[in-house]
Amino acid sequence: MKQNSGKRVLIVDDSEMVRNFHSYIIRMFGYQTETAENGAIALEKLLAEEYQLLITDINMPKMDGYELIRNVRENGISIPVIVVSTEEEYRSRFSGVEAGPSLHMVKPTDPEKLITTIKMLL
Amino acid sequence: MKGVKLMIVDDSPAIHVIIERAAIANGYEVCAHAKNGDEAVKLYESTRPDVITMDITMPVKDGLTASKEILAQNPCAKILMLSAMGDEEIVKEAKDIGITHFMKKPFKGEDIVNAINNMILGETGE
Amino acid sequence: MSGGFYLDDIDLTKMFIDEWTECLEGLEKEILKLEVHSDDSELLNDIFRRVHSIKGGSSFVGLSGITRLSHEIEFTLDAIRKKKVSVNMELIDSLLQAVDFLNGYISRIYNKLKEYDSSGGNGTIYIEFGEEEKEKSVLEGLRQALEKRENNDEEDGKTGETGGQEDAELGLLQTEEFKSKLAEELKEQFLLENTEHIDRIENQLLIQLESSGNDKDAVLEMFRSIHSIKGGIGFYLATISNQSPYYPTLKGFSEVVHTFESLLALVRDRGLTYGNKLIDLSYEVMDYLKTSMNAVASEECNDVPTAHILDKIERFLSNLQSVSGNDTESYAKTLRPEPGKIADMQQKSNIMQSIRVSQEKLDKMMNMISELLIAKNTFMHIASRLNLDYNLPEMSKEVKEVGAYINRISDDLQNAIMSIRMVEIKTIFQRMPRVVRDISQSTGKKMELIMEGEDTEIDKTIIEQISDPLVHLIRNAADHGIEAPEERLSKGKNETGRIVLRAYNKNKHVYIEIEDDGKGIDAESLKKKAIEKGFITKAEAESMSRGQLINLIFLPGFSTAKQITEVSGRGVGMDIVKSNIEKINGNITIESEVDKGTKMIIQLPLTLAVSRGLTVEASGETYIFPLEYIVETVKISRNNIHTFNDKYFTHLRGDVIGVEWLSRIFLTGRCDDEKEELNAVIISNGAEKYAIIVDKLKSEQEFVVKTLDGHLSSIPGISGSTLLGNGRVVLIVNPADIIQLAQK
Repeated sequence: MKQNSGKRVLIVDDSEMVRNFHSYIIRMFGYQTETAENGAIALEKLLAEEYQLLITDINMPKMDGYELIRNVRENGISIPVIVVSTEEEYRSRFSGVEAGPSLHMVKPTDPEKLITTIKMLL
Repeated sequence: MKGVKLMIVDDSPAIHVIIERAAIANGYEVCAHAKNGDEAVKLYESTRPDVITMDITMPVKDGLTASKEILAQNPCAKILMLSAMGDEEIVKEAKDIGITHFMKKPFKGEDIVNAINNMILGETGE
Repeated sequence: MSGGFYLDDIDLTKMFIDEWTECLEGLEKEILKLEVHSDDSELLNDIFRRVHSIKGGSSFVGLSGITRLSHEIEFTLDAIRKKKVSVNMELIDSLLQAVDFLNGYISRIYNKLKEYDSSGGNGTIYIEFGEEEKEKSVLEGLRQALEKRENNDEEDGKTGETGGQEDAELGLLQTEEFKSKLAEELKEQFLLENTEHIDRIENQLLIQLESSGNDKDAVLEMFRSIHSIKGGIGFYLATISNQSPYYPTLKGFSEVVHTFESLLALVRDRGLTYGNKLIDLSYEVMDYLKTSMNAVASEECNDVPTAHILDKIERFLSNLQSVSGNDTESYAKTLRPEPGKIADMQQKSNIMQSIRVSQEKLDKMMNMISELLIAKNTFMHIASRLNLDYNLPEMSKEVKEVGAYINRISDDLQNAIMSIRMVEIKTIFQRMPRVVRDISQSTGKKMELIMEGEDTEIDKTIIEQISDPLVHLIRNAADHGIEAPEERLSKGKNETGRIVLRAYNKNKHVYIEIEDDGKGIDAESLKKKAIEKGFITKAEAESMSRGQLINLIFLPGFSTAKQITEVSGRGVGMDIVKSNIEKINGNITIESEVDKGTKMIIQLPLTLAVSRGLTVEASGETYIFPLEYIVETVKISRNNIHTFNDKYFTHLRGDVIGVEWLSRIFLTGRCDDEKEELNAVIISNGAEKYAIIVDKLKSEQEFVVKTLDGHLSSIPGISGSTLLGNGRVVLIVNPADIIQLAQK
């Protein structure tokens, strides 16, 4: 677990409970986590500091997950992204290739799968 | 960075195309194409490339085994290992045998070029 | 852009498709083999490699659909490899289905590309698919197959495979212990967020929709809020063991939200009008949700009945689906709201919090401040003892200085905490439109509620205490105050009744007024009734002013309504309202005129926690009078006290006011002292003044109210206790009560 301690994960969701859910699990495995409540705040953080992974919701006020990823990529940030959403949300927003996220996970996130996926990506 | 000799090892022809396009655009020479680890080891002896891009999961002989054999021939061989999601355990092993450069899939042609440049410069810098 | 995507590097894509076709060839057979040879690691590795290769390639050309699907397959294969799932027919089936779908997906892209070639195009191609449902079920199948995976770390540990330890850590995530810890971690947030969503729906969106059922933005917001609630319950439910006592409640909650979301999606997609029936249903759903939240919050384990509300939503939904049109109104005839168990349960508790600091922390802080205030008073006490008892004036001065310093700090601290505790009265006001609406629905009266001063701030504890009385008063105004439309018209009034709910600050108090333009209170009929019921004698009645008569409705057991209606009948009497308000050092008065309307005025302290008061002595006991009720303190000469009908009176600046001895009220002594000059505290409840005679007037000081528990809590005339600087416990007098007691 120690080897994960230098890795920073940014968790973006408009629900504090969902942020806490992910944070709690991910921290158990030694990663550092930070959170943002919408895409705009997340983008600010991503531009200011270095993260190794982005986990984002789709439906959010101000800037949604799709716009966030598009902006992230436009700014040349090439970190892996996990999109957490319902099947329908994902389909309606991400069936194209432009903002292609690294991976999609279905809400509610399966903790074990989340960690396994993070391990794959980092 | 002209004149760098590159060997591409991958079971996917499409990946060969992606890397080759970028390499040629930057004045590299692709001296060998290998579609699995076995071919790579053999071609390494005969072509002596400056840099090898090495896929991990391949039929016949995987990238890790091939890298071990190449490093046994020449401990200074420069191998850029191309990993995909799910390869993290192999990446760990690769680090143990002394491979220091990795690239995650999917990458863009320019990413590969930058990585190769760094590998070469790293040497002249020492 | 649903279901389609652009491809720009067509040559590269074609090369990848060739590779994938190769990878897929024979893959089905291999998977079938797996069913019998599930521990053939070479076979498994080969299957794995093929899928892995497709995944890697697809990510290069941005075919995220393929990446996603192949990743899911790979994840399943990995679970098989690590022996986390046992290979059975179901699992193989879902793998085959997934591979089959992948095959179809890829060949469709291939065909599109071929078409495109033959049409001689170049550049970018747009590809669209229509098999979303199937893809969904394929993914679902894979996920379900994995849900049964077990945690077999022990085995891994024995065989000592690489990654065994990490797998053990992963295994933790499946344990009940981990889940219940996580649930604990999330509970507060879960409740808070739902409460916020529900509040917003009830008090903003539904109000908006009621005034304009075609407000598309509001419909959209409605959908979003419900969607967020659904997302939240999904996460929370995932942390709850199905053995947990809350599981059925939460599961039901989840189903209701889910069905309601489908209904809203239909309304949104068809652009339907949000009609009254749907609004009624929405309110019912909100009631249900609140009840469930309360059950979880209060850790009550009785299940909240779900079938009834679920059935209603489903019927509404299926009616809507079977009819085409643009109004939700016509299909809902069979649906009538009926007050049931939900409504009852809803009343039981009210945990709705309005600020984002846990109550517990706030109270703890407040308690610490209280201690500090007491300690601060101790300094002054010691200082005076040093001077008087020990004759150390220098020392006394020093201690006094330190005391003054601490005093300043604690004042600042207190102000800071107070400001945290202050919340806008909006938090309770916004429940009122719903209350008025319900009554207007059930009685057929027309009325509007106007709210003013919603941003007036008041202590959080008071907010909580005032909420129920306020609901009751609003109900009264709507139910008993406002007349039926015909009656109003015949009186020459506007058909629509008007209730104003107003809050404002004045003289360090918060005032809340509830004003209606209804029928008002008839003092004469009150008088008659009071005499009939034996509350007062005829003679008493004749001597009473109009104001006093109206205040009779606060007497226990006195009800003005000719009949108890369903709406306000479930509530409590006005006497309880009054005593609840007095419990928090507030008081309530009424102004009313027949056919003009009624105005209830509630006066509340800004904060409950700390007050200023006057300490007095009577028969050797020390009491505190809260300063806000004290008009003045005077000396009354003995021969200025007169008796009439066993009651005492005095003349004070032209007024005649009642006089009573505090010791007589508390039955601790007699009033037979021989002093010529008597110390009196003149108190007022807003309407009347009274002179209370005490032995000694002592000092004015701050005090922290501690409510009394047990049998002490019911002592009439006492609202609580406090500690003085010298560590003595003294009782806090409730002046409003005292006046009542004195009048008896």
